[in-house]
Amino acid sequence: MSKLLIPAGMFALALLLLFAGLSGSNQEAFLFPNVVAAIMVVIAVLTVVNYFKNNSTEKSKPIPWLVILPALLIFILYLTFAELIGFYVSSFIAFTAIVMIYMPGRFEISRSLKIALVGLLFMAALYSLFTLLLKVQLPRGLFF
Amino acid sequence: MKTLSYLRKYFSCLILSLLGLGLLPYALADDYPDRPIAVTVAYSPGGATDFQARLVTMMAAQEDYLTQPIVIVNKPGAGGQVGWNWFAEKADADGYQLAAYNVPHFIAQSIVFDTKYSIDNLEPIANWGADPAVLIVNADSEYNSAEELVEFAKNNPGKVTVSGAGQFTGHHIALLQLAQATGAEFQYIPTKGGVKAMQRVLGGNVTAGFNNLSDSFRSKDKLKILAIADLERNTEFLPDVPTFKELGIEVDNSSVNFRGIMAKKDTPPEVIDKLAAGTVKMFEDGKVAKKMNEGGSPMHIMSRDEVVTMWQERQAYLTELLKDLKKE
Amino acid sequence: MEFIQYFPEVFTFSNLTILILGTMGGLLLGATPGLSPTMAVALLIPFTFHMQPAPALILLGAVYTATVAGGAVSAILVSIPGAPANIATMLDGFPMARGGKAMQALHYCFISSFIGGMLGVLLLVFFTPVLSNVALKFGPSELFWVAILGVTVIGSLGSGSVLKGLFAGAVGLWLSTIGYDPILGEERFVVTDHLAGGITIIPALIGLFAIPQVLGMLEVTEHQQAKMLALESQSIWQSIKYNFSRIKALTIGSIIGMVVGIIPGAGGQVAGIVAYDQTKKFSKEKDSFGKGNPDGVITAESANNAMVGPSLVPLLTLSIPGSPTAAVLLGGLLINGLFPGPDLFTIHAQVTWTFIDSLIVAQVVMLIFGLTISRYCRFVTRIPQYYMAAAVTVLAVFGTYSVQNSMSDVFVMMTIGTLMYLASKIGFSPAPVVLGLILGPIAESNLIEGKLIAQSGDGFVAYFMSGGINLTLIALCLLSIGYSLVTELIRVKKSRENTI
Repeated sequence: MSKLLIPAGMFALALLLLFAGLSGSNQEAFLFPNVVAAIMVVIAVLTVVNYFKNNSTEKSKPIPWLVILPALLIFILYLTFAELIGFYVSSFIAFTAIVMIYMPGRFEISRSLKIALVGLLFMAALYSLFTLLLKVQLPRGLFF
Repeated sequence: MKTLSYLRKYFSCLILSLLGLGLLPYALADDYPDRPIAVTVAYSPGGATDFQARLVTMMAAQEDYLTQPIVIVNKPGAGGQVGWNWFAEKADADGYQLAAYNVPHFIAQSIVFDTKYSIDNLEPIANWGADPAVLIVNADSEYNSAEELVEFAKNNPGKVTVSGAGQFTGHHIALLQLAQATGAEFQYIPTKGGVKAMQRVLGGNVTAGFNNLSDSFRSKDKLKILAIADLERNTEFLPDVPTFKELGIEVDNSSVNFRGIMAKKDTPPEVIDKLAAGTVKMFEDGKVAKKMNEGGSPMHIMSRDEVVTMWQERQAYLTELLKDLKKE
Repeated sequence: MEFIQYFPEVFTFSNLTILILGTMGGLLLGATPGLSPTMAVALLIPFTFHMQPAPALILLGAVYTATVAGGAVSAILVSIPGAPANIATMLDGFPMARGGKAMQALHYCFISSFIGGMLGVLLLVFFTPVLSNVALKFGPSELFWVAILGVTVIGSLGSGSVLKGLFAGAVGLWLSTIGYDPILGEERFVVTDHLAGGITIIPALIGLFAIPQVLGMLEVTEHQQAKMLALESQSIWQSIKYNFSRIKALTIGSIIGMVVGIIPGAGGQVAGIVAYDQTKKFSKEKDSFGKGNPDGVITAESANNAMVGPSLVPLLTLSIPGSPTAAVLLGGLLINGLFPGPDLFTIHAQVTWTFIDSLIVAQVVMLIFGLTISRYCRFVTRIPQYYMAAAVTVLAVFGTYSVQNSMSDVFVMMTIGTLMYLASKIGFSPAPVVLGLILGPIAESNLIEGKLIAQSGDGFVAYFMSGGINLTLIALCLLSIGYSLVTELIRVKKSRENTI
């Protein structure tokens, strides 16, 4: 039963996009997206038909939510605060956070020192490439 | 339990990172400018505006000019609307974020569309170039003069297709003026950028086109250049091409594409003054003029005060021309 | 044979130094995420300000050549394609690297780039007069069909079912319409301010490929990791021999690259993908594509570089650039006083031929330099997965931001990337989405432009469905769709037989 969720989801998404386009004020501008959305509806219907006729053998892989959740959390915090506290500092924190959390084995002071050092070196490399060489103006925020 | 160990690991790292912070070089704010200045170009790399902006800002880092290099940032989309909207809404008014303007494009768009920019929330710094629009047809075309083309368009309303670089650009304004002055009806074909518009004329996909004088001059052996939308002939590049006024068609210089640099309204006056003085000197640099000339890009340097007047004149004229096209 | 007499010009000490530095720098810039060849050449234009025309053009040519290959290096090693052109390289290059064959992948990449690049430049040298007007034959209707032909390729690109591939491609097409519409300036589907600028290709590219890869790396357990890190080495000679034995992949790649290069506006961005798709269709081992088949790397890279030379043909003769990078290069020609047109090969022959010759020499330098650095890839592949994941995350953010100094792009990149990770778990792949994003604007703007022209002429059907090129393209589209449907039917039948 849960396998039906995918074709059904595709169908729902296609319909949603089609209605979003049809509700636009100036239909002339929405011609192309609406044609695309209509094609999506057709493909979704074919997928549903295919599901009932052939009982598709494709398997979907499970999503290891527990493993990726900390990473997603870091992504969100990283992007939220990047402009506020500065690009380099927030990147340094995000970098070390990901390594610390996903590094197998127990926590040791000497190892965190090493990670911080690697992080600093990496930031220095990024600084010389993006700021010094390419002169990209990254948000400085509170710190750097 | 596992979360706890995550946290403990994490906090120790955070403390270390804060210690590391002290080591990073930290620049204190000094006299403006103390770091590179970004200029937003609302068109993609490779376009005429991008190319010229890169050329004229190249000497910025010199001691007599701005003392700091200028970096070009491209934000293309919707004929410039994306970049200018971003600039008017999101950019800092500290003199480190400037933008390149194209008149009449941005003024016309601010009249017709619901944009976040208008001449009221932007401050001109200086103007570097002016590129008039010219009416062109393919070298194999049956039309040999602007009058012939207009005559055909009058007898066959809507059958004449004219390409130009996007909506409410100088090319579009020139065509609107031509239509208004002659009463003929044309079908405007907006393309993504001037190069594409030129390609449509060269490939014979459209009847005619309005395009930049500089680009048309470069392709002159594959084109017939019928008329120039300016007050005077261009004696340097195209001495034989008549102006519309000479042909008795009331099309003035309102479509001339002026390019320059602007800042946001709330930028401190001292900063604007410094910029206005420095950029004009920078544009006047002999090396810049030489490269611009070699690239076939006509220069037209105007000081800040002159640009303020020019903006206001265009605003008044375009409001009148476009009053029927305004969208709610 | 005029081009031979100007070779000594390239080999003066200062010119050769510039060429070598340009090639090395170009590889580095190309490997930087977010820095496409177009941006790299644009950044260099001011650099050439103080130079004589010949060295200035040598520098630009060398950088153009090298950034295209540099994008492949980051695609293979860290799964961030440097430019849209490198997507196809990544499809098999990154799995090869994960399977311990990073060195082989890099070898094939540089050797195929070299072969494709050389063929492309030779086409430029010998056939420029013949080909110069081809570009003008492609008006709005022809370019629309070219884009549709690209769309029909979408379905067979993914590894799974054709229907899912087509659906993902359609999602990409739809996503490309977010933001202002190209003709009327109307806002479409802008649900948050971050989407006002639309979804730009480079951020989407980074998000769709790098973020799922990051999350995938973090899933991997310690045990699996040890298994992946064994790096096989292979001598350069063996690589060259193998590379030439894959003559079919090489030929398809080079020919498609050259053809796409001449069509202006279609963009070399799709050359690699179209070549990849064709090679897969002609291959007997279709299932091994996407899992580390060297043919994928060989065909994609030969196509990417074969496109460089021909894309300069319409540029040098008509000042119509065949690719976005060629458009920037046009600026470089202009400031050095070289106006495209017949003068280029008469009055300015010396500078023009020196420039073209430098493209050939740059290919050689790139091959030597690329093969030499390939052996150091172990330093990258040996980096533990958790370091790699962290570094790719930060690089993705920096690279995305630097495209147009926009935080909104970074949000879009991360959101799209996370959604793509989830979608990959239920059998969708990112390549069709990116292809949809690239082709969407080409298809839409040419459709609307053509529609406007048709309205004042013979009408829609007459305009879009007449003329030799239009009809050929339509036939190719139908052929491509038919092929996909037949293979899908066979696949379904087979899987049914297996279950019974």
